Amino acid sequence: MGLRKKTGMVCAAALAVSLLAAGCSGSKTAEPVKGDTAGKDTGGVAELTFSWWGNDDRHQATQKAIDAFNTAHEGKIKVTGEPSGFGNLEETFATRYAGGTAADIMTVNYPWLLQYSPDGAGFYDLDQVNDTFDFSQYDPEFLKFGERKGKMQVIPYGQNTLGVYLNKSAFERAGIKELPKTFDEYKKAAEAFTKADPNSYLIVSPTFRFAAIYYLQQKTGKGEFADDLSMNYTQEDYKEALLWYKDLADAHVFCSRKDYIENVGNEPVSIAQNAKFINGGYAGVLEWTGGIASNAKTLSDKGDELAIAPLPVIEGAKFEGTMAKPSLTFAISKDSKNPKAAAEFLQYILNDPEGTKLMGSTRGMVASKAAKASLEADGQITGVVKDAYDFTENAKVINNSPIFENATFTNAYEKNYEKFEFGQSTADEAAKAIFDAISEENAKLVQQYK
Amino acid sequence: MKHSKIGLLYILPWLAGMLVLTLYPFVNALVISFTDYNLVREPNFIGFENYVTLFKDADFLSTLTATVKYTIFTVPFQLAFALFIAYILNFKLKGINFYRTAYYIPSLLGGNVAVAVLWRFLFQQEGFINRFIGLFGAAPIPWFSSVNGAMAVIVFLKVWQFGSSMLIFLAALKDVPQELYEAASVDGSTRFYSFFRITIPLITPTIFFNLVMQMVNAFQEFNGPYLVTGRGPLNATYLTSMYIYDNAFKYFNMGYASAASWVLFIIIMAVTAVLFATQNRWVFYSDEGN
Repeated sequence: MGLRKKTGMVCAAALAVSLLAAGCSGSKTAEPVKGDTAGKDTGGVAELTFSWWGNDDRHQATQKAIDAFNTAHEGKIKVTGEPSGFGNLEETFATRYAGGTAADIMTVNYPWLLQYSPDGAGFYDLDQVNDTFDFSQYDPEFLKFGERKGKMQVIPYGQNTLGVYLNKSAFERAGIKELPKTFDEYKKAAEAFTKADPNSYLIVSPTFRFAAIYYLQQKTGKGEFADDLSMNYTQEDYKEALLWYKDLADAHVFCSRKDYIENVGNEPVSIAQNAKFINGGYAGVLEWTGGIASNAKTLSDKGDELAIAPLPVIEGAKFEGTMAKPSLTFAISKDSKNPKAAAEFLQYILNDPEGTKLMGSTRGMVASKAAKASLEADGQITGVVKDAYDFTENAKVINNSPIFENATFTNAYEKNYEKFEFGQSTADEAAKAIFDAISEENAKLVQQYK
Repeated sequence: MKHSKIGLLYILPWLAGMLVLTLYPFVNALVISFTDYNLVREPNFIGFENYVTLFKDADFLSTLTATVKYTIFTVPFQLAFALFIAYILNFKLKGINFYRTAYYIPSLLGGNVAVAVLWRFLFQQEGFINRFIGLFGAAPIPWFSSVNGAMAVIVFLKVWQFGSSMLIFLAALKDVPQELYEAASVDGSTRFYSFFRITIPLITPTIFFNLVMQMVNAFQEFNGPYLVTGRGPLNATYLTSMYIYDNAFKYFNMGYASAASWVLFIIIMAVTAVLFATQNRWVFYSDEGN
């Protein structure tokens, strides 16, 4: 073999090796690298970073609050925002957390509390800053969502409730004056919509799983997982959910998986900025209340009105409600050099009259009494946002288990519903595959968190 | 001695990068592949369990199939297209430098977010491509939600990024002695015949180089499919690199993802070795026989 050939072989090997370098670097232990970005104390100014995700309206509101806080604390505290979209939330968080580059003040999805702080030591103990952060503004029972092994790890922002929000203007244009209350009425409404646009659907959900659980909760009267984390649904339950959803997707009530892949993508994401939703091709969403302000805003920018629909109830329901969970939560990094300053910032955005006013309702319903009073006084709890507060207060809910949002579960639902809808498996096969995948992951989690 | 030290100093930044950013993760990934490391907890040694599970994992095997399909569709098309454009750009035409630059731009853009948005815009249900084919009476194609359509979209994206292969071909074409074409012309050879009998044989080392490089790149492809089609319908565009990423950062099976990385690495090395083994039959080096 000539020198040229040998060199070529070495180049090819180096290129192939680079794949592993790109994909699989990782620390051997969970210990974050200390002092990376966790709050630099430079020249007397406590420098903090704050990470969150969301749509443009949330980014703008949060940045305004950060700017106002920085101005008020000039020379003492400086907060830098680290916004991101809704995609790859968990991947980003996991990588930053494990790499020791997490922000000082982090937005934490509720299920991550169990995952990253199973022993109550994954985040800074917020009881250490209770002289700075006013916990009395929260219902003590609600605050328990943020505890782990007796330690206050995260502050829950508010309650997220799954509901149906419809483009009322699109319904009026289709000649429907009153929003549907039952799934039969939805089917009739869908007929009117598809006459004008055969590709339109009434309700798009970021994932088939939301609709399936909505159905199964009503059918069984139970959440997907019991308090001891064990499974509540059987293979037969999953089969019924698959058939129920497929029937409604065929009737253009729920968005079909095929249409979702074509117009949204593969991943469960917020629909607020989706072109088909904005243009009325999707006449409503099945989403958390946390996103309602964004959904309403994108429609109002186009002159359409979003309305909260009455919760449709399935025939023979044992439970006439929906599911809920604490909405996003906030934590302070256990490696932050300035936890007091971080707590001061949290106090500003979660309880302070000025800070909460600037943050607005872009993160959904607030749980802090002070924040709610401030938003009401500022006239921000009006229209669909007020409706969302009323809906949250009145809806019958089953709270999600902390293991609910495990990506393996959602993937099992989506992948197998997709196979079923595309004719690659029967309902029985798909239901068995969902049940088996969930059982396997559930057993691991029960073992891990028991 | 002094010169060699200076040389070492020059390559030190690269060497440091190679050791820290490539070699360390490479070896570390092998170690992690024998554990159940999940980013948060301490890893436990589990022997070959990850590797055994991989070969029973229908999803992993389906990603390998998708990756092989993607490689088979992209590499030949990209090389043929790159060679075709390079051949045209080798003519002495007015403003040729502008065209050379213009054709290279897609490779600079690569699979970034802006290109992904553009690609989704082009291929969406009421996008430019469907409107264009509609002019000829064709029905709109569900590009993203059909198995073949989704694969076609990411193949087009990869083939579109032919610039670097094209530049290498262009350099090779310029090295082909003009006297050979002139002699062939005198003997009555057509341009078509000369291309296959003179040009192609003389640039086989470059074809081989581009083939290996593009094959390795295609097996590792991540950005384009991840940003444009995601997994695609029925995992049609779910490539192994995406599967590795999902297992590592979505499901936190870092050990399992590392094992999958190593399997992919071994496959790439095996295919590269096969290509090298075949080169004696079709690659002609000018220094052979010296």
